[in-house]
Amino acid sequence: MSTRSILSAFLMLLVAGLVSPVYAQDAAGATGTALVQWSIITAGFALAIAALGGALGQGRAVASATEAIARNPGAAGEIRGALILGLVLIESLVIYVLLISLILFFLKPFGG
Amino acid sequence: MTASPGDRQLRRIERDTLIVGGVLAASALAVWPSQPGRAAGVAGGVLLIALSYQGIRAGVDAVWAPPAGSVDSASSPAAHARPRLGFVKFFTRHAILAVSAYVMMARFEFDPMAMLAGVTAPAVAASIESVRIMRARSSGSHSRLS
Repeated sequence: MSTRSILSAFLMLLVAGLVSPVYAQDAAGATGTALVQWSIITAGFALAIAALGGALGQGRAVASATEAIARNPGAAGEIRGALILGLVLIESLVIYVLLISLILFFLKPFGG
Repeated sequence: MTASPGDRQLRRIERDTLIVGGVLAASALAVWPSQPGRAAGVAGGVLLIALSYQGIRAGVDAVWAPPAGSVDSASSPAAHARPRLGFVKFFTRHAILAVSAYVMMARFEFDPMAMLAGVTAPAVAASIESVRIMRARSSGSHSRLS
């Protein structure tokens, strides 16, 4: 399966996921309800994108650290410290998005 | 017992994170004395990032044990004896974080923005550490960092 077909399938899935709640709205068009729905959809996608980015970043960090320790085992202590710090800083970005998503999910700043 | 430079750096960042979190919480309490939820939110944010740190550290220690003879290897023999626990902490940390954040935010009604400020504490501590390293390098002595 080529990259283009995977991208196309992903885009179709994305469009289908975004369009269905729009059709589910009332004809009267309750603006508040729509805003709440969109904020929840946005929170879900934001969390997914943050998890994806964080996982990619942490994977690269661990791969680089593993390679560096294999090349120079004597520097394992320093590399380990830098790895933990890097992973925590990447994780803190994911936690930001987690908190913002939880705000949108449970506290509902846009009403609802 | 000696600690590697990486361990010493982590210790300093841990200490600075706690100091920054304490200063932020005290500032929130001083500015909004009638709203203790904000100070509690900062403390909750620091607690969240501390949970995450413990999980990551346990996982890394389970894969790469601290150097023999270091402070960490002596102070945490459990990390050597039970690497499975480290992996469990590492792989369940996101679930623990999500539940903790939900309880703090939705049940205890901590201020969400204050929680975000609390999560920022390790980034501030890392910035302080990088400034410290740059100053030590510019002055040409590394002894201040040990």
